[in-house]
Amino acid sequence: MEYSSLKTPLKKAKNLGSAKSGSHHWLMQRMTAVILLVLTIWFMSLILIIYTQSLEASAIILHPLNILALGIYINTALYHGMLGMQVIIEDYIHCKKANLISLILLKLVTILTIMFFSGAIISCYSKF
Amino acid sequence: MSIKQKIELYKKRPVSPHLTIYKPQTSSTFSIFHRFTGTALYFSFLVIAWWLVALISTNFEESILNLSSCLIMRIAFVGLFFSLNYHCLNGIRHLFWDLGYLFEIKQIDYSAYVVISVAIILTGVISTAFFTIMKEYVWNIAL
Repeated sequence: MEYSSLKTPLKKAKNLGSAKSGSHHWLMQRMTAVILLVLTIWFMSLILIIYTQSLEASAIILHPLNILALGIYINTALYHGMLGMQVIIEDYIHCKKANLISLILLKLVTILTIMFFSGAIISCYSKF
Repeated sequence: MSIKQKIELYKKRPVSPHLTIYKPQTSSTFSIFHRFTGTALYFSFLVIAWWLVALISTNFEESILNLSSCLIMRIAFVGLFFSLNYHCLNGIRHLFWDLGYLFEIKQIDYSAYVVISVAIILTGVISTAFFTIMKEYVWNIAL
């Protein structure tokens, strides 16, 4: 038989929509990973700077660019972690209901944390 | 059939042993540890983000900074630093695999050795630096 649609009849009966693309997820994981590598090295070197010099001498790290870097670091890490946890939930939870609810909760918690944290970082700038 | 009946049936079906008999290898062990450290890091970063929100919104009160004076928190911090280092270094290996390099068995073994040794060394360095900073600048304030 010929089907004019890309969805098989079973997919149409389940009526859950198309699967869209998985390559965006893969690409965002790699891109956020590269950014996180750079920023992790940055923050570890900040810890080592405070360690090798006294706290007063290292108050130089209290700079708006470092605060912005902290904001970008935590937000990108949470996004990267959300992508990874999505894969874990899809791999290990088989019951469809629990799968869907866990995914929704995961994305909700992550997005709320990102929003609140960004608000806190932005409020830091008023203290300068 | 309800879900409870399905679960009962699943428990009764015969399954041949898989994880209990398969020999753990470099590739599989490092991959599952990459996943473990990734989940641990996700929850740790959630806690860190909310802790930073608390720190900033109470206007940098110093009692919030006093984190690592008890043993459990120190163990947790060492675990966090090890997870971060291991996940980052193994992530570099993953990026090499995406570019098409380091696929031979010898290359996998050598890069795994480099990853675990650098992770342990870096964890030692960062943990001593972090705990010295905490001891010199924060514990005195709280006490």
